[in-house]
Amino acid sequence: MKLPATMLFVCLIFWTAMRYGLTVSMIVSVCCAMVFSFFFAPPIYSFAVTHADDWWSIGIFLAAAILTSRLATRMKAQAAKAEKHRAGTEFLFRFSTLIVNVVGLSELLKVGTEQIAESLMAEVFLLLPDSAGKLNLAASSPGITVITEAESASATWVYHQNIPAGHGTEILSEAEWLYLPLTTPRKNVGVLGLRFHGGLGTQGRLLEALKDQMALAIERMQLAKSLEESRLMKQTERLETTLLSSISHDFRTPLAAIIGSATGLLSDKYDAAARRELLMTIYEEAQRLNRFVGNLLDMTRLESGTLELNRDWFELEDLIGTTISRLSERLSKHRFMVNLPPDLPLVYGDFVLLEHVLINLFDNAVKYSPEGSAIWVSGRRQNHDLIIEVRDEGIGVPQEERPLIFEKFRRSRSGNRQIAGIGLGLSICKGILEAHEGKIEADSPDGGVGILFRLTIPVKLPVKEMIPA
Amino acid sequence: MSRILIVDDEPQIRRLLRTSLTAHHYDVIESVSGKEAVASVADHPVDLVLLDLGLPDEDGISVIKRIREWSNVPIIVLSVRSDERDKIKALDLGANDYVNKPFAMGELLARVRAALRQQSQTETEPSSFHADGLCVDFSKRLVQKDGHDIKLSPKEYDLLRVLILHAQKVLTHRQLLQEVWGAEYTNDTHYLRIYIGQLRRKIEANPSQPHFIITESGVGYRFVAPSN
Repeated sequence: MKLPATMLFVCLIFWTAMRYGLTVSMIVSVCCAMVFSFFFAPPIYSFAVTHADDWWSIGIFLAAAILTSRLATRMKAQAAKAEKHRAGTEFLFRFSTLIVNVVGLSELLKVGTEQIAESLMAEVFLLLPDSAGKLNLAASSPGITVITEAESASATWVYHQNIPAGHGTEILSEAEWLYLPLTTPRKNVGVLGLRFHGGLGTQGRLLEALKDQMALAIERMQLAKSLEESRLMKQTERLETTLLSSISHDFRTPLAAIIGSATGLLSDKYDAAARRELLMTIYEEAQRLNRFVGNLLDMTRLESGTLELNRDWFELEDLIGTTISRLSERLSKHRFMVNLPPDLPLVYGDFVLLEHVLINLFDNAVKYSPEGSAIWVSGRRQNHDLIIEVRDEGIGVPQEERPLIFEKFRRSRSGNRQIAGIGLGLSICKGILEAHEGKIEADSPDGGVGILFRLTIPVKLPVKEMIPA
Repeated sequence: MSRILIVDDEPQIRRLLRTSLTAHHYDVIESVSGKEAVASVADHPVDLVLLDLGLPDEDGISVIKRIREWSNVPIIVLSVRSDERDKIKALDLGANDYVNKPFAMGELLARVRAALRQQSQTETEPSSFHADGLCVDFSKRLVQKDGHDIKLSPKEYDLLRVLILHAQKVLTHRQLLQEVWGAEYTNDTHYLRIYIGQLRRKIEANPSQPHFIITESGVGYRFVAPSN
């Protein structure tokens, strides 16, 4: 009976050591020795041990128990360490996939700090330098919205010296926070601050790895951003150059005509008919300049977002009639056909801006179609939209170029370059229609000649339909 | 000879106005600022003020307000297009009319003549109106177009009457709504739009190319009667 009992005890002690650690298994070992002396060593049912053999047995048993316990606890510790290592590696892998896949710096900072905080059981903040090199709070664990001046000063020191400091280091060791510089082989990107709930423990290497990955990811994001900025800048510069060159060309031409005509008139060498011709030139060219300036102003307002719609109710017939009479001189060499059904709903929109749209469309129609040809304007209701169509018999625009003509400074390539214009009109029309939740499209007319512009404006109903007669 | 005060800080515009108005036998005095303008109206007998809204020292709108505190002199506002709100404010505060910069000289002179004529007219309403085939007999409330009687609803008639009484002068949407429908309807512009449309269909030869009732984009309407 003695042997199986001692074997059983050893098993029990091994299990206890694995499960509860060294101290508990030691206590269990002593208990087992006492049980052995009580039940198995004569005199039975007494703790007294009389045989020398039994003394030996108990001694050897205890020695074996201690050895087993220590072995078992060490195994357990190693297994735990391996597990932790595996978890750390796995976490690192997940972390790197995560921060590679986020879009935008702010998202990266948010996700990164969250992950670091969670994995290290710590509160975290992240400081990044602004353009002047001053560190600012860029992301932090929930609850940390500001950092104190002292913390900021420590972080700045760490950033400039590129040495970790604060809690758990030799410098500023009394601080609550641990400050780590975020460095890449190229530069210092910022400072990471951590405050552990327990302690860093054995996570030092994980922290090191997370910090490096974070630094690299931030640098990558910043590089991408500055690349995008310089691309945008180039685009803006190109746009400005186009604008300047087209403005100077399109302003110089009418100005040349005006100055030439005026100096001619001052010289007094012309007969009445010639003088009138020169005066007409001055008048027409000045009107053209006025239209350019109007379009440029509209464009600026559309671009800067300061365009405010001054919406009101009006009849389409009124809008078209007013536009035609405003342009009556320019339209006099074309046949204008207006076709409006009598029961059209009122338009709710900015009269002045929609008038600009029609002025631009009519002006284009006159510019790009021969004298004496017809220009059609029609309106109709289609479900919840009001459709306005302006159609001419001019040179038209090839199908493939049609979507492009609504872009700034874009003029039909097949068009006559001799015709003055800076290619702003249609992009302004598009902007104004979009501000009205509508749209503008270019289409082929049924006859195939010329071009048709179709405007769509959603129909709204007046709040008060009843009219006191 | 009527005396006109020009208020504009731009010397070129003052020169243009001075030359043209003098050539049309008006007496011209000039101011370059709002402060000077108010003082001029107080110091000299002035028959009409041509006021630029964009003055360097003070808002043209406040110049109108200050002049209107004690003077009824006709004021015509000069303003660039796209400033519709300012024009409406100026008109609602008592300016008589406006002209868009850049303006045609003929148009400006017509506005000046109309404003001066209205000022000299006595307060009694004319008993009738005749022009281009349109006849309105105010005493009988009778409207004829090319010799035929036209049936107008009471509101249509009121609207036409107000427009004719202020012929040649722009009336803002608010002014028309107030005169015809009353103060509580001044924001219901769709009434006005519909009635103007109906009126045009009854009195205009071609309602989409109106001859009498002209739309002033974003501001209001103007009844134009060929001067006879």
